Amino acid sequence: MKKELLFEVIGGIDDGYITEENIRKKSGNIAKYAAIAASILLVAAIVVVWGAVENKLPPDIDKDKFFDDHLESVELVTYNDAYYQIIGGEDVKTLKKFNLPSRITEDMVGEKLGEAAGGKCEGDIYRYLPYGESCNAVCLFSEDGESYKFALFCNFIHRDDSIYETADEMFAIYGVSAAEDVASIAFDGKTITDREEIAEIFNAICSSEAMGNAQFQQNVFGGRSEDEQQRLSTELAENCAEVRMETTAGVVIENLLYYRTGQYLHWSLNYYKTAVQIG
Amino acid sequence: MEDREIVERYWQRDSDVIAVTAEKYGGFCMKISENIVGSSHTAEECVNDTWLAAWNSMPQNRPNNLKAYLGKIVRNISFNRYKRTNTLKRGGEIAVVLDELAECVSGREDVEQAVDENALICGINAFLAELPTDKREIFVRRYWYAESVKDIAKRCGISENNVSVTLNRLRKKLAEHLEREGFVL
Repeated sequence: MKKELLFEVIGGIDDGYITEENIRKKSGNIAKYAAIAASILLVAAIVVVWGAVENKLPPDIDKDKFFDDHLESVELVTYNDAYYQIIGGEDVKTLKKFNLPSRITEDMVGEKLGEAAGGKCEGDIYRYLPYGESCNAVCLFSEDGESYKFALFCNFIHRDDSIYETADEMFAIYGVSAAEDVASIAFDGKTITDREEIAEIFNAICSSEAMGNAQFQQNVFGGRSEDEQQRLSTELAENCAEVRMETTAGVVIENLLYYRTGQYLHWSLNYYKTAVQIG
Repeated sequence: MEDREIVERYWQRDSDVIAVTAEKYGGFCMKISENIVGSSHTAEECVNDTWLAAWNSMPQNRPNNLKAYLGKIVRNISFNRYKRTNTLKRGGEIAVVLDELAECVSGREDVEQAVDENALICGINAFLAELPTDKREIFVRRYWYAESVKDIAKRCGISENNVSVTLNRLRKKLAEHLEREGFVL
């Protein structure tokens, strides 16, 4: 069949589908305003809690120093509809965690990929050559085209909590298209390097049911009493493993959590329900 | 004027009804046509042809959903115009839309003759019925209205990346659904 014919056939779908958006739009707007209202409430709540913490500090404590010591400021930019964290050469701890060098030399800088902007900075995103063309999770950021910092993928921007990326799509950002591209997987620091075991875990993740936060909340907490939800939250947290992967190219995939209860993998605002227990 | 009344006036052969229809649905039809033919001038001609087609078809048909009825007519006319005039020089949004749909078909003409189009429409309707409303809207906006990803993102209040990712998944799902239903495309 030709694509033109399929386009023509789609022309014959039910009338209701062609005109249904007008009805839905109203509820969509309500949802949008509700989300904005919720955000305002959240900010208000943070301000209130913040104020309470500030007021409870003993008078002899330097408040600015207290917050500097207890808060890690993160510099974020948006690029390609995703948040990237900017890591400078001085942040040795984070660079080490991601197997990245503290000095970026000219031979590591590839072509310009696009523009990025954040609250404090604005600049261009370049390819990080050591990880090749298939990896978009580790890039370089430069404000002046001369000095560079690392830009590490955090998550795609979801304006709706029903949106999600599939595991394949997430792996692709890190340049992983098959189990062979994964060098190791660690659960709570216990590293797995056995090829068969890696392939089993990789396949379990890729064939899992992907979902956004809304569906995860509904699946796990929907229809339960407040007490049950509280108990379940505790259980999820207690049986949760931190997951870290490393690709054969050396790219580190961090910030994954595996909830053994319910078999959910939490990865950058996405949830994946695996059919079998992993790790 | 209510759609029911407009249809009634078509049936009474009241020629003033064309101006009423144009006033109420001119913008709607114009947008669909522009998405497909890519030019305001050609779209205007297609929309004028639509009023004529509606006038000629209405005594036989009594549409329950006038908006969709007119939308289907203008979509057909515009796409036929596109095929006629753009055989050698394909471009614009519709070319991208068609290329995306190519992922769901084999491109073989012998298959074309074997497909029962009415059954296929039913299959696509069944696929759409299973989708959540927001996903369905994105599909319909792209493959029925031929809207750009940018316009869909703006309309739905989500990012262009999200629209592209969603469309990619929906195409895969459609192909799987139709294969499961026994369609060989």
